[in-house]
Amino acid sequence: MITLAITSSTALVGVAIANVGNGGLLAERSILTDRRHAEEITPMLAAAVAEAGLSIADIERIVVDVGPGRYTGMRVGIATAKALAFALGVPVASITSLDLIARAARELTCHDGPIFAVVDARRDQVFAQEADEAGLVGEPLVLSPSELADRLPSHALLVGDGADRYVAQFETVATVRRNVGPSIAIGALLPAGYPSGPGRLVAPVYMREPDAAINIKTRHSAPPTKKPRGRR
Amino acid sequence: MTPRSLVLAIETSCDETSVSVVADGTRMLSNVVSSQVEIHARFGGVVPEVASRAHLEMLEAMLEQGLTDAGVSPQDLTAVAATNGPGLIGALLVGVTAAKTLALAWGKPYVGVNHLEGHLFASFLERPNLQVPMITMLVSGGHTSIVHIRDLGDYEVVGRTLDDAAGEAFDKVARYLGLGYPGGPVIDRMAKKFLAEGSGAPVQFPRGMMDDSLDFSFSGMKTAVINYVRKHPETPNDALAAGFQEAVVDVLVTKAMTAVDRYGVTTACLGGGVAANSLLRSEFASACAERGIDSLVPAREFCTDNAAMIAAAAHWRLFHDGPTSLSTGATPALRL
Ligand SMILES: [Zn+2]
Repeated sequence: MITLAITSSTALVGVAIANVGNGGLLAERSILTDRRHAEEITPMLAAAVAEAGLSIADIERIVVDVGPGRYTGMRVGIATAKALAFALGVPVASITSLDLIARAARELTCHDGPIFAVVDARRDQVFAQEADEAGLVGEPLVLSPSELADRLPSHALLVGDGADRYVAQFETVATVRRNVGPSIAIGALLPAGYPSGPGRLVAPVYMREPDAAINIKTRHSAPPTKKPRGRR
Repeated sequence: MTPRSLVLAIETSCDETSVSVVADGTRMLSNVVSSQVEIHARFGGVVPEVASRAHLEMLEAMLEQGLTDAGVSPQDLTAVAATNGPGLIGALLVGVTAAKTLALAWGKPYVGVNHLEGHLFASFLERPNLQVPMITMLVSGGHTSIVHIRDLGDYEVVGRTLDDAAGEAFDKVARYLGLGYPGGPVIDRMAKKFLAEGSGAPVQFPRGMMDDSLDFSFSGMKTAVINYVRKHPETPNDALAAGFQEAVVDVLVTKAMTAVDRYGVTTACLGGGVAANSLLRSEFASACAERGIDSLVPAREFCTDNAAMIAAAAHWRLFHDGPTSLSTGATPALRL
């Protein structure tokens, strides 16, 4: 099954193409970028398809990183997956950024203790989730780096841009890696039985309400520049 | 002779998700628009992150409907286009990314379109034979400018707002008066009712910058409303709404006609969301008629944001400049 995997929810923009169950990885490209996700992703996709010796219509399944991470970045990846699925009529499998990172860390390192995928959530917070040998444990969390540091077990490996950004808070209690290699390749190699469905059902994992929605919940009204008079 | 084309365009620059298919740059085959206005109403204005999320949610439904309504299949398309600025960056990138990906998947060229150029092309959707040079006044929540169109692709912005856009001024005054969001339609409605009832004269407000300049200033007019209300708190809202609208329209039409005279054009058009205002539409048309010049005020669906105008501009851009690179993104502050 020719699978295209896309990640764009962190500073890492990447695509990989694999023939799952028949030959393995065919192409992998990724780049670290602060804010050029949209510029990089489409040419990268075209180049990966060419490198794999395929035409884009050969793609039979899409795997997409749905976050959590950077809102605009993840939307670029998801919009790419949705548009491609719409054009090709192929199913899409969603994988969270944390799951992708944790799976890559498990497969691409020889670490045998607990793994924590840690993605930068801005505003002095991180998205984090633990994975053991069997995969993800519990629910993803949004918390401060120090809160995460406090609850880390011994011999933990922390991977992701959030782990790297707050390395000073983690390195005394854990091993920290920004990334472990071509994590998106692990996405392309997800087994054929991994759940997938129509692209329109793919939903981003934001894990936070937009700021304005948070404000409105706490204040019960939009902040007007002038007090509304509400006359008549 | 105009080259043949079939362009699918996506517009996601602000709070409308729209997909359209246009043939030959002028013949609209479909134009589906999903407005987020109700989503943003509770915030009292467009919230960028909320808008971006909604665009992504609407993507497939709009593409599906846009193609189905047009009755075309993707293989028939000449190009896939999207608005690439100006606008909200997160919102723009949903449409740009989708359009680039569709272009790649379908093996068609991608065309990135300036939203403001799209508004200028809206007129040609209704009247393909409009004569350039012309003056087009663009008035919306984000922009207020007078554009001298010397030729297609050759624009000079000869007047612009120095502070608030006209639509912004409507929103701010409506908010101050407690009339809700968006301000344009509600002020338009109240003013109409007030004049129809004949219960008095609209409040007279000073017109901003009524000199030779083609530039606008609306923040002073908003302040004038606030000061008037402080002094005369008993004034009914509809008299204020009618007076404010009259003042804004007076300034807009006067400046547009000054531009018409100064550049000696014989055609004048309106564009942008505020061009849906009923008083502006009628005053603009009669001022042009008085001068004996040709005028066009496009249907409301072509004034507010829509992908048909983007497709129309994309047709011209494609044959004039060729495709846009797939390694481009969006430019939030793109200018004409
Ligand atoms: Zn607009």
